[in-house]
Amino acid sequence: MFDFPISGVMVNPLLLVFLGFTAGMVGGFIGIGGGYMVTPALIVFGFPGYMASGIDMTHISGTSIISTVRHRQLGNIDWTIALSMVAGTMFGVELGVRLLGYFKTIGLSSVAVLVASLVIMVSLFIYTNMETRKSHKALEQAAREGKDAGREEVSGGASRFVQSIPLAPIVRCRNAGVVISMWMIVLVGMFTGVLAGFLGVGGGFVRVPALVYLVGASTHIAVGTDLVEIAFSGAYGTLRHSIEGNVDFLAVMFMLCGAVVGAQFGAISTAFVRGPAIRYILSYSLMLAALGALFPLLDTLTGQSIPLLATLAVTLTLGQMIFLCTFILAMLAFALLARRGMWVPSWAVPLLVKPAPPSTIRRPLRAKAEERGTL
Amino acid sequence: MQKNSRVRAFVKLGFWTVATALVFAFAIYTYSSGQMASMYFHKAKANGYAINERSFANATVENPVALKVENVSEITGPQAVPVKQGDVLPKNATGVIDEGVVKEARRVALENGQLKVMIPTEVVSSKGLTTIETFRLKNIETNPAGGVWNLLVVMSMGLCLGLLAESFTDVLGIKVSKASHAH
Repeated sequence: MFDFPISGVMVNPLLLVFLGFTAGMVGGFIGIGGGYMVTPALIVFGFPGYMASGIDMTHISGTSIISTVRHRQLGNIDWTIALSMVAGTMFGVELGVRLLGYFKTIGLSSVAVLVASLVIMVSLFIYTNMETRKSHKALEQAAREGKDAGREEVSGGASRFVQSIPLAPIVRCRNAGVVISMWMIVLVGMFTGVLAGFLGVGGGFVRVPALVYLVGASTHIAVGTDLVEIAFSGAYGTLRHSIEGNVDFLAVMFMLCGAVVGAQFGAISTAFVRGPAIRYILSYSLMLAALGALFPLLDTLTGQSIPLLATLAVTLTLGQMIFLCTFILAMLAFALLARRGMWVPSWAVPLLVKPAPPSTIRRPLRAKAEERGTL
Repeated sequence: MQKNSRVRAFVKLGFWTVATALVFAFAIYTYSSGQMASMYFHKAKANGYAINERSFANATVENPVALKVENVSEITGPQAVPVKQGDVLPKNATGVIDEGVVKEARRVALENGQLKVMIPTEVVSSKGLTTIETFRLKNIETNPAGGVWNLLVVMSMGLCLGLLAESFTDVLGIKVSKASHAH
């Protein structure tokens, strides 16, 4: 056990390293900060609620930079979208915080936040899961017909409508392959920012679907670009929380040690899977997070009179990170097995990216030297 | 050519390893020297007595803990340092007991130049939520410079760790090319 003098708690630092590892992996894979999972976990470990929020926000700002570096290497960032969204997001966050302040004055902030969290997460889970299943079926159909489906498959036409709105200036997002009004990107950022500010989270779980379904970016671009957003909003959040006295920096350092490894697994795994695989994990994380918000809400409304609810909240909080990491590692394992021609579940095959031609992947130098007989 | 890229990869790894180590060493030094805690427990937000709540954690009504009231620059035991709002807190202070709480004399009382703590923690229920009220972190103001420090150090750590990881995979010869993102 380690004594954290600022928070005044004693916590096993390996738990923080593990938490950082799982948050880094999930965040690097689906492009979120993971605040809605990490903050409850920190509270379970013994940190006070406001401190858990501040530690989480500070760790998110560091982890998002780690993931951004890798996603930049993978080509998953569209800087035009990222920088256009920043101003809208910041403005939206400030509006969301003020809206929360209003609910605070009428004494309904806890209930309002938990109800809003539930409604948004359940709605997003239903839509994202249904759309991803449709896309999965389309990929299976393409595979049966012997067609190459590419890296992405998205059903729905909302993005085509949004892209058709002719509000100047129109920007060409080269990496995303999208031509769209800059104001649409700013508006999407503002809308997601309001939700983020109100719910007190980074907003990635809203922004990634918004970038895919409204702006029309591929899931990989949405993941990488959102992490850039999170770096900016996380920086602002770090400053605000630190000034309010909500950050124990020592705890953040332990989490970053785990995050650096987890984020690599998460980010690199995106290179092996198609967009629907990422959206499946995003939708399941939303469902688990919704359940994670439901139990504290019931706990609050019943005046904490049912101990089972608190136990379920703890179990879910700790279990959901492990479940999501297992899913991500499983997809990575299936991709590597498929490349070696080994057995992979049939449902997973359409979700995996076919290996690129040998010239684009550099194998370890030693293996190359062995082949040439120059070793 | 391959030897050059391998050498470049090792140089990159060495550079970012050193950079990461320096950033972490700086943060650890700030913690071990007490500067991190000082930035956090910076000033008093109210008139009262600066304390370290661990010095009276086991106090009860039957066995109160007496804190010696004195002006010191560092709290080393059961001591209480009188402070005014805006005063810089003594080293190792973790909270300020408000004058009003002392006057109330229910949890803390001033007797014969000593501050007697009888109820160090209290369970408080409000709007269906139960919290534990302690004197830790009470009436303290953090140093805004600490916020800037946190921000700069965490971003430096993120950048150094990210580039360290990238250079590590470069040295292993593992690289995945940038992908096309057409729908």
